Amino acid sequence: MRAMQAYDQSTQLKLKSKDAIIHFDEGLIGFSEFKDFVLMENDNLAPFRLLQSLESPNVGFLVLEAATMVRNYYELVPGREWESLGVTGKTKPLALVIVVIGPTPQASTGNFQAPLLINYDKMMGKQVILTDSGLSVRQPLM
Amino acid sequence: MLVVTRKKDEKLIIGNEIEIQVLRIGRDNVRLGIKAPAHISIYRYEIYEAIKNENVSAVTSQIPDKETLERITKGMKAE
Repeated sequence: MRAMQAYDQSTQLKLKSKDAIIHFDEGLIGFSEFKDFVLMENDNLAPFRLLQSLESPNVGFLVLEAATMVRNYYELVPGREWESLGVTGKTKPLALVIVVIGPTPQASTGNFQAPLLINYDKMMGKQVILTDSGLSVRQPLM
Repeated sequence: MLVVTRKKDEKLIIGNEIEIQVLRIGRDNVRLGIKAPAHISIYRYEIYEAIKNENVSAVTSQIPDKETLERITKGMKAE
């Protein structure tokens, strides 16, 4: 697709695996029409990845696995949210947070209050808001 | 927007599965009860809007440059 080719040429990002499309039934919050994304990465970008929309080359989000900064993050997510994605004890779950990269580490933040939950087996995702968690929408990455 | 007037204890049903009931009418607020399937999230609108604004400010079509990324990841490891 044109969006992925543009990234491949200019920034040499690659897909983690071919055709690894993650489907968000309701899109992302405020982006309800954007339902299909791929996770793109390269060594320079790590630990961040780019969640790239297949529906528009202009819609992408830099993301980070929540557990890299908050070890017990998966437990902070209510069980019913995982269940609504069909995540059982045997399913591989993934929680990503959208990050904003600023000029300095202090100015770079992650939205830990509204993660993207992903059932990696079914390749389905959902953005949820952890309203009672006390987690920040702009948690500095330092 | 559909505008409907309900009295205390009266309900609305949205689709086949979402029910809203007026539980209590106060002087300057209303208590609502909502029944919905578990996969449907319900948020106060201002919370939802705050997250929407965060998503909008985060959307990008560019990767940060290598130097910036190195600075950020170094700062993260130093924790």
